[in-house]
Amino acid sequence: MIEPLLEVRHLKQHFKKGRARLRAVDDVSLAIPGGETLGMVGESGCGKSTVARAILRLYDPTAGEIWFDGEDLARLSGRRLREVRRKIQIVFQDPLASLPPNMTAGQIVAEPLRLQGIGTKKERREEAERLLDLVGVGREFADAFPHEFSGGQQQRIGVARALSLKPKLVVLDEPVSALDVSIQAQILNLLEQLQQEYGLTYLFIAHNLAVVERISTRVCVMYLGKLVETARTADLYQQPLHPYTRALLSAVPQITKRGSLKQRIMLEGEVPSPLNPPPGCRFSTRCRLAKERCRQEEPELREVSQGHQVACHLV
Amino acid sequence: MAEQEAACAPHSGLSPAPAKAAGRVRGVSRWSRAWRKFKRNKLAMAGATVAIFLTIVAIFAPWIAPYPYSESHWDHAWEPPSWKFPFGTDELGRDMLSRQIWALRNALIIALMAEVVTFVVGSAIGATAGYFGGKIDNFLMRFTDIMFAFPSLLFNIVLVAALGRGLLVIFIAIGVTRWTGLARLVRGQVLALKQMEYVLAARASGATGWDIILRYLLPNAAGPIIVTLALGIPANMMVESALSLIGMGVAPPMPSWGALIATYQNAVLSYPHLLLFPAATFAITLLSFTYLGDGLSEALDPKD
Amino acid sequence: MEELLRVTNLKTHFFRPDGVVRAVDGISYTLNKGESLAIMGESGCGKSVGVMSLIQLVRKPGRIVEGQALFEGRDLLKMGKEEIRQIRGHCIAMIFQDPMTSLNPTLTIGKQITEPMLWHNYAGRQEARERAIKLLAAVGIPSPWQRFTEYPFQFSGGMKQRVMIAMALACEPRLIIADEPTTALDVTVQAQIIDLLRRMKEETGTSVLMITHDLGVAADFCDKVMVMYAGRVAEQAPMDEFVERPCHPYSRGLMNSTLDLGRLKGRLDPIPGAPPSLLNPPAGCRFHPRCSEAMAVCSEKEPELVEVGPGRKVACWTAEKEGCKN
Repeated sequence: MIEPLLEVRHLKQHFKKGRARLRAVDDVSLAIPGGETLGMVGESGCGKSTVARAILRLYDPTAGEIWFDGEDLARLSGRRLREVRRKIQIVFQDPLASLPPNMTAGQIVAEPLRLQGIGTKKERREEAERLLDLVGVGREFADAFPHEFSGGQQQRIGVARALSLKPKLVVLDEPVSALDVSIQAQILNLLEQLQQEYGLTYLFIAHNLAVVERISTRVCVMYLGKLVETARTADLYQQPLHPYTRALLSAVPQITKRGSLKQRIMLEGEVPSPLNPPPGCRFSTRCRLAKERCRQEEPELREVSQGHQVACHLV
Repeated sequence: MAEQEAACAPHSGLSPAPAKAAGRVRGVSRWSRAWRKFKRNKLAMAGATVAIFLTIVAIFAPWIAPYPYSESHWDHAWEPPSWKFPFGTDELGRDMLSRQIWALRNALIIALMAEVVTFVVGSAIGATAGYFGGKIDNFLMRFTDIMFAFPSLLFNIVLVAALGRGLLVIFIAIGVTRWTGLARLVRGQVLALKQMEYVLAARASGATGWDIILRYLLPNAAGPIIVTLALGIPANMMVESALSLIGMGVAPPMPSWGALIATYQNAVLSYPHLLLFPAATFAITLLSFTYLGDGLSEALDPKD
Repeated sequence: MEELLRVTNLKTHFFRPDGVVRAVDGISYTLNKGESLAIMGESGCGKSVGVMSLIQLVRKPGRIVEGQALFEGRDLLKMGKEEIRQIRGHCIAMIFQDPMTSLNPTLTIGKQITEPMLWHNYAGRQEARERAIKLLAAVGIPSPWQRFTEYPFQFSGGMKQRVMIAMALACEPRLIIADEPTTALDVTVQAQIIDLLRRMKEETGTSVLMITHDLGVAADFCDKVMVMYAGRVAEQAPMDEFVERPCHPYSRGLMNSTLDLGRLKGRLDPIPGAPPSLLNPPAGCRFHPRCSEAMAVCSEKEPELVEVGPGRKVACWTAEKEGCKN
């Protein structure tokens, strides 16, 4: 197997909330080989965005290692961290909130270059215009401000900004969730095209399972700060093994199979609070198959077939 | 989907992609958009016009005022308005128009300089607290709370009584008691903006603390700060006149609205011009700056 | 089937300083008793404004300029303030997108459910209380008598949406307007809520207007669909037929952009461009600048909504000429 571009080992990201401890991410390990897309799915509060931000080192990890390009990001700080950061970029969910309202599109795209002290002002400007053309905004709009663009165009500017430092890894945090379907498809096409042309590696986070299926090489499923299942996309969608993955997939309304929701696996109740996760398997409180063992002993993520890992006692 | 169009203007009409004219597209910044909105607001424009006029009068008071503010015309004491003395004269035969122009000048200097003090102290403390958070935030905000809880007029009086009734003392005294509101506002803005995704994106591209403060936080917090400062001007004028009303304002013979109103409140029946003119000019000044501030707050409202 | 609502040529415009935004520009449709209609389209197509106009909840500078909305034979748009207030929440109830902001945080859940019943003299105090507890149980809230006295912050997002549904059902409305009722929810919770809505609809026989951008949810829940584009109706159809064979090029574009689980890879075929500004919509068919099948006539004359099959109407010159393609 080729050396992965990014490897996260036993990452823990806890936050203090008053006296309590919010275990947003609790012992997550994952790896992305270069040029691939790892999709990450889960419901709100499962910790998927926290993983993304931890990888970008927007937080100081509580524990664990983040190996990227031969270096452990979790241990870097100061100058060195700033230098490594240019190789990992992020695209956010809310296109308007992710663009500074006081700058023009051209300035926004050139900003990472400026921050890293690359090129002269004129060169940066030219590069920004080239990127605006590349993502389909058009250089003639370089002097317009974020609020003057539609949501889809705003997201394209966000993508152009992420590409300006020629990163190896792009973290896409719900990049199409705030967009209309027709625009979603445009952005997905753009992302796929850019990946092919520049050999980019993506960490694609979304709650929309159909979008993740489409774009990912591998998919991992998170529940309450834990990874419950990871596999190649086709394996995961055709043979989901973890009861949570199954429930999640069956809950997706499908156009071509109307009324499919009627046969879905009903999930009782709601996600427990990450401030006070249940003992044993974290899904045990909602799992119909849960046994005594599930409530006491926490299942490890283990390989059940080639590249297919599940954290469940019953598989 | 972040769609909140229920019962409000649909956004596709609100933010169309910039019209693709021949060649480049010139963007419209938030500031020019705010200016367009401000221009449409008639009350705000009227307020701004009057405020600018009053400011010019205040700046050029020594040349505009027909007479020195303390010059007595003994043969014209207690006179009603005339061509020679448009606002009449007082008991010493001093020209009331000139005295009011000087009162305006004093009020404006004090109000503006107090806002400068407010801005410097308030935004420094607020931004530091918001940006660093934790213990620094806690310490600074408790200090702000204490200052806020202190009866400010009393504090002003004590300061003025201790240090004298000069302009400098008065505006520092007012500024020192009025920065707490701005500090809280700036802290809140910084806290909110710090979490914005564009700030995270800048950090992910290797931005340093100063990059973030100077290029992301301050420019985007400017709107609410400007509004607060603008609305602080009439409020400061009120404090200044309250101080002179109780005899703790600028020292006579230097005129002040509060002192003028206090002196002549009993003369209203026999010499109405001595109370009515100062009261009216004071009210107009306050109103014009208030409308200006309200207009700014509407124009700079980030909601649309 | 008995007709409940007939909307004819509804126009709601926003009079803004920079011009008139034609948010809703002449839409017509009907809804029968017990039916559910999905109103679909992209942000800003006027789907919410169109529906909010029915109960006269259009904020300034918006105004209903024209049209008729017959609800059980009475025109909703001509009603006075008091009359329409009697309709709102009583005959027509709303469920909003964001359960977090749609409940008053300072009132108990119980009070919020019982109040509309008291306002509309639907029930007495004791009766209302009993009914509220019954409703909370019906929408799947455990120990309802206890939760009756709790405040919204003690409820999760999904639970709040259940409470919203209980509130909507309180006065036995004939019509429920659901504005993106599951958009803010996670998939598993979304599935629970759709299930619940379906059960409630079957039990009470109420009609539902569901505004949504999610074709999956619409296809799953609704009997009929109406696709809107830039303030106009593009297509109306029974859901089964629509899913099989969308007729308007815009509907087809939406369908091609929508991802479904297990759909084969290959380049997605999205609609190019973005919806037009409603301040200055394109002449002719409003979709023609983005339409791959546009003809000369499309940029000149606006197509009328014409019947192309039982219950199917399309506003498109191509479809008018050649019928529905597939």
